[in-house]
Amino acid sequence: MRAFKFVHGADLHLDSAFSGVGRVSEDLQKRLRSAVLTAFAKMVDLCLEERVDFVLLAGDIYDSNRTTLWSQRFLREQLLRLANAGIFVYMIHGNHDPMSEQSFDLAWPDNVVRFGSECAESVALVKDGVELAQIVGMSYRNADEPQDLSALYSPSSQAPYTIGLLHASVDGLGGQDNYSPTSLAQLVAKPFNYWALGHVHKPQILFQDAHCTVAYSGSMQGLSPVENGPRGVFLVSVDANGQTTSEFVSLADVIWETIQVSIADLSSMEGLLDTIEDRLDDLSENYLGSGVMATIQLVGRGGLHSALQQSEVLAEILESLRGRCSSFSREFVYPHRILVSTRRNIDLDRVSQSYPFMGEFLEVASQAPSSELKGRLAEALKPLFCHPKARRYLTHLTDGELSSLLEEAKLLALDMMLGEEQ
Amino acid sequence: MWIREIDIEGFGTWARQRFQLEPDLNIILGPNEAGKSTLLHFIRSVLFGFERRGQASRYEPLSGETHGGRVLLQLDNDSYVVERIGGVSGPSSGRVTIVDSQGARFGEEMLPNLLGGVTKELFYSIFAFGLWELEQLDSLSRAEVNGIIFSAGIDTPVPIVQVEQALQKEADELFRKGASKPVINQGLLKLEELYQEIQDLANQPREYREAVRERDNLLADIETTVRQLRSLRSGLAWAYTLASAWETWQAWQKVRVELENFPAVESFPVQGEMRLEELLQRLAEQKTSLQQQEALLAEREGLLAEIPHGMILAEHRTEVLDLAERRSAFLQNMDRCKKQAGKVAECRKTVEQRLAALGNGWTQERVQAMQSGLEMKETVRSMKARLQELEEPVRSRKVRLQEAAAKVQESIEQVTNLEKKIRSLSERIHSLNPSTYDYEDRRKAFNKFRSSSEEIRTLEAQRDHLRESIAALEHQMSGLPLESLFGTRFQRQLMGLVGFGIAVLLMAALLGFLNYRSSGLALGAVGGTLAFIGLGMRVLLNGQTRQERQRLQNKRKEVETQLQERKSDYQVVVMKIEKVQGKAASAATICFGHSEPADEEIWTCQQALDEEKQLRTRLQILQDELDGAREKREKAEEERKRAETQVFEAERTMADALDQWKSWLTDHGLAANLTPDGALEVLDGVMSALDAVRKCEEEETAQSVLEEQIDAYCRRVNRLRELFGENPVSPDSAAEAVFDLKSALEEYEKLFTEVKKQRDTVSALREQLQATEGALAHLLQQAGAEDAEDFRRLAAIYMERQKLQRDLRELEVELSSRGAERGFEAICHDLEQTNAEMLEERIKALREQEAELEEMVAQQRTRVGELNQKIASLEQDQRRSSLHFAYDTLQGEMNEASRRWAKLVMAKELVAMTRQRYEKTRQPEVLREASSFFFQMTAGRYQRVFAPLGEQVIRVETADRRYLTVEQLSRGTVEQLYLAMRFALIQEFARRSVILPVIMDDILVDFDPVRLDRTAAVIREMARKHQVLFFSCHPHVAAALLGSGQQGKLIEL
Repeated sequence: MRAFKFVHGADLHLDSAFSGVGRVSEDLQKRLRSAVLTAFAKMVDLCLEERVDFVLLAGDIYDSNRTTLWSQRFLREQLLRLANAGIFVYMIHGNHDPMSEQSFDLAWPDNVVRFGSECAESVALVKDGVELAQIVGMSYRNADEPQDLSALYSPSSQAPYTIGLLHASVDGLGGQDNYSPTSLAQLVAKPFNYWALGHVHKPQILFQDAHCTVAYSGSMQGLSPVENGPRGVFLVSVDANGQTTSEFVSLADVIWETIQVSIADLSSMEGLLDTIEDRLDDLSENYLGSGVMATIQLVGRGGLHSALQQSEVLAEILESLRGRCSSFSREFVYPHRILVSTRRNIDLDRVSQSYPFMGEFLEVASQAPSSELKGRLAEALKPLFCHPKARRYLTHLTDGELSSLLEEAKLLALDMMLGEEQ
Repeated sequence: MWIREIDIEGFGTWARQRFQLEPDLNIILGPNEAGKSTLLHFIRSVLFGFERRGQASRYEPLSGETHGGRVLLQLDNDSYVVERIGGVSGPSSGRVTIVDSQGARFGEEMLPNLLGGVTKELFYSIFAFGLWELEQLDSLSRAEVNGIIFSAGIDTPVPIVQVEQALQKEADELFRKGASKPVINQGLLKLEELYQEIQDLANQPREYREAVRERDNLLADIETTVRQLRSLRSGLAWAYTLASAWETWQAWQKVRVELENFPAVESFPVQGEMRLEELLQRLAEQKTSLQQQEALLAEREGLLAEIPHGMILAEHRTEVLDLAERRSAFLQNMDRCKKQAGKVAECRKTVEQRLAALGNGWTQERVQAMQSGLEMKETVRSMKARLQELEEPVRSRKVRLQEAAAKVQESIEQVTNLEKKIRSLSERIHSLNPSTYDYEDRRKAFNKFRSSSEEIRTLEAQRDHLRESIAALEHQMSGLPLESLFGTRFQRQLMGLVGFGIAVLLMAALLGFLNYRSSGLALGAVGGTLAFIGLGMRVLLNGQTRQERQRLQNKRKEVETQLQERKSDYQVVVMKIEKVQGKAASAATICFGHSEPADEEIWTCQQALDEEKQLRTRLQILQDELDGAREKREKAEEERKRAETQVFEAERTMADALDQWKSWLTDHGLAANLTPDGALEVLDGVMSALDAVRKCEEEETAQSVLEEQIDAYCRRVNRLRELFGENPVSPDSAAEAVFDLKSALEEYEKLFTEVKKQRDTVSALREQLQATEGALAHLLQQAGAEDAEDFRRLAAIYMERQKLQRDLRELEVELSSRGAERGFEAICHDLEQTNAEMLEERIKALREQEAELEEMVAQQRTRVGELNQKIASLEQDQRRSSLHFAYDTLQGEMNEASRRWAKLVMAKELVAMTRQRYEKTRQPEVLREASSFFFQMTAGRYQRVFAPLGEQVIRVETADRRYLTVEQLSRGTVEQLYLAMRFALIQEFARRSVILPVIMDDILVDFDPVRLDRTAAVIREMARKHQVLFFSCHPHVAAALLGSGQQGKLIEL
């Protein structure tokens, strides 16, 4: 067989929401909004530079309910760049861009081959009269796909190399079981040399041996603070013996990162600021050339805890740290939020003894979520969470959230009652 | 803490006023407008700041004093002066200065410490209040009062009410039901707006798709319409072409018909008519010309016949022309012949003259005989030269002879002269020295004498020196004794001195020994020392004398040796002097004649010797000159003899030459006495005569030749004349005859030529005429014409036909070009089918259709443009993406805020729950105390004040266990309730913080006398712990307060 190279990408989520960004300046907003497009353009650059033979896109390239013409046009232009270089793009539709919601308004360029949702289709990839590989793929019809699509995939036995292009949740990765749920064992058992998977946003190789590779390329650009670390595509090389080598190439234009800073040994705000600054400097060294959106998570028990409970203090810290970002046109490290997970140095026993009221408070708050407590809290939260607008525009509180918030509330009240008292 | 002193600078009606206060009860009594409330406000203002500018309660000073003043606060053992001064500039609350008892100064930040952290609101409503505040417990927020009331027993570091309030406040800032300002309320509204906007934009893709579809359809439509338009336009263009070709086409048809009806003359000579006219005209001209030339010929022939002898002249044409040619030469010869005759006569005359010049005997024949004249002349010249040559040596040799004789004479005189000089000089020398010794001997003797004298002087000096030296040595010798006298005497003197010293010392020793034993001992020691020195000296001197003696003996020996040497030298020098003196004496004898010359003699002798030496030198020179002169004389004589011999030889040669010359003259028949020059002269004359003879002969010959030529010419002329029968002519008229002949010949020949030429002309003209006639006939034949007239008629027909055919062709070309690619046939075909009116109608209809289609395309294009713009703007539109972003970020923010809100609300809820449980179990202390105060004030009418659980209200319980709300109480009772509550709070505050003064402004006016007394008792009780300032305008109130014990200070204003 002949050696060849391809790029495996997925989950571009064109026009998807950037959740958890918070309010940012116009400049930064612009950069963030264009980040996804830039990542895709970088992928095209990579393809041209590496002279790959084809490109695989494993679903969720855009978000059906949000796609804009502007982005479509950009995507089309980039795809045309590949077309000009004679590079074909094989893509499937995932749960965010299913076939039934045809909301891509522009015509796809001729070099884009889209797999249908009726059945698993297979395409022989022939270049200069030589068959390089066979690609089997199938798109989602609807946003839900409870059926395991991989079961429908079967390659021809004559193909020199076989690729399965699939949007799926493998072994429960990526949420509920309505995204073509399958298992790694089943995928490996099938006669495919490479499973190009989409859906899970974290890039990972699930399996790799001499005959088979199963990989999620992840999202090309992190879409929320949770999607931290480098994001991009796999550049896959197949040699003349059919051996597969995959290399992760970071494309994200803006990288989300979280740094944890402990306040345990810090006694002053200046010290805290210095420590954070150092950590931010580390980040900018790690991600030269990219923009970094940093979440600062403050942890540990320490004297600074009380001060950090005040939102103005946090705002001040952020403002001070943001002084380092003057421009967002090139590389930057932007501390976009601070998560305070610190604890006060409270000796609860002592507090209970010294202050009978607080002893009583701890007793009340630590009651296993009794129906009375639950009821009263639910009642207290009603005004907002049962507000029709809030129900429509805000996300509901999950039980998990509620119990962690309750814990935080307890500590907050204790903190306030103690005041400056140590 | 209590207020010790109030010091007002200026505050409302107060100016420069000072009050001293007591730590317990102070009653300030004064009528209305005495300034009691102002004083209350003064204390409030100093402690918590002036009211804002423009408010009445700010109490700007009416008297123009400085606004403000100070209060002196006493805390336990410390006192602080708190000063607050207002002013136009600075904060409206005034500037605060605090000075403690040690003089340390503080700023306003010190105040909360002094006041136990009481807030302004709390102080105003609980610690410093008037009737109005008393009634309006609402002036303090109910929550705050409740908080103070209910949390009175809750001992958290931060009051629990404060915590709840803070939590509630923060939560409310985030979200409040029904409000619009809180963050989440606003955020939700904004989210809704954004959502709506996004929804509005959700139609974009559909709009886009529709726009693209519509545009593409339109573009297809446009293409169809444009195609239609194109074909319509081509039809219209053809209709225009037909219309424009219509007239041309009609003209073409007309010409075609005309041509068909025209007589046929298919061919005709090219330019025939013109050519015919030309030929006819030429013919006429040629005829006229021929007639003229023939007449001219006849005339010329007549003239030729008239010339006489023409034929004969023409026959002898050569002879006539030759004679005519030679005619001028002939005339010249005639002239020259005459001149030659004159020349011959002249020559004859010259010959005769020259012969006469030679003298008699010379005839022409004799001269002719002397043909060799030139040679002779040459001989004479050479002879003459020889004679001259010989004369020169004779003369020069004679001159040399004379010179030699003169030289001989001169040398003889010179010798004689020198001999005379020598003689006189010898005599002079001789006279100078008559001595017998010759000069050289004397000179040597003199020199010897001189050198000897010199030597003697040297030796004598040597001798004298030696003599002195000997004397000196002898003297020295005599000075050197055999032993030294000096040394002996010195030793002896020294010894004497030493001996004396010793004696003295011994004497002294003796004396000392007798008188003072000790000093005698000392003197003895000195004496011993001196004796020892003396001994040592002697030994030393002895050693020295022995050495000196040895040295003197050596010296003496040395001098003796030197003396001996000098004496022997002296003897030698003396002997030398004697010997040289002898030599000098013998030399002197030779020079001076005696042996001892005087110095003068020596000098004279020296002079004489020098002079003699000079004279002798001169004599020697003269002798040498004489020898030279004698030798010269002999040589001059020899020279003279040689010159005489040479003169003689030259003279003999000369005589021989003269003899030769004479014999030559005789030989040639010339006079022998002739000198060579004379002979030459004669010969010249002969030669000249001979020349003249010869020239004469030449001239005569030339004349005869000329005469012969003239005759020959005349003969030829006369021969010709003979042919014409005319008489011969003389040479003089021969030239004229020849001229006539030649003229006649020329005239004949000229005429003959002209006639011949004329004949040629006539014959040429005849030929031309014939040719023209031929051409004319041919032309007529070509045209098929019978004559010229017929020819002309045919030509006219042919021309007209030609024109018609040309017109037809032009029209056809025009029609073809109009028909363009469709061509001539098509246009003719279409034109045949139609007419002008039909065409016009067709054009009109087509144009209307065209306009319609154009309008349609324009509209479609405009729409396409609009759609393109819309498509582009939709493609470029980033609003949706930007809205999504805004929505997402805001949603994220709101989610976060809602979580924070939930946390705050839950925290507050937890605290509230705890508090409620707490309240359930423990009766708040403050209410218990308030109950007690209320009980006292109402004289037991009400026994309890309480706040039921879950209700933030106060209720009272009467003695008969009725429960009443505040609203159910009388005004006075409410005031008593609130006063009781205040007092309870004051005590609660004091327990928790500091004790503060209580200032009340006439609050007991509504109290009945019993309750007044009861309350006054409570106040007095209160004043035990707290300073109380009570302002009143009622003396009975003041009296009640003072009570029977007259406790407290009364200040009357």
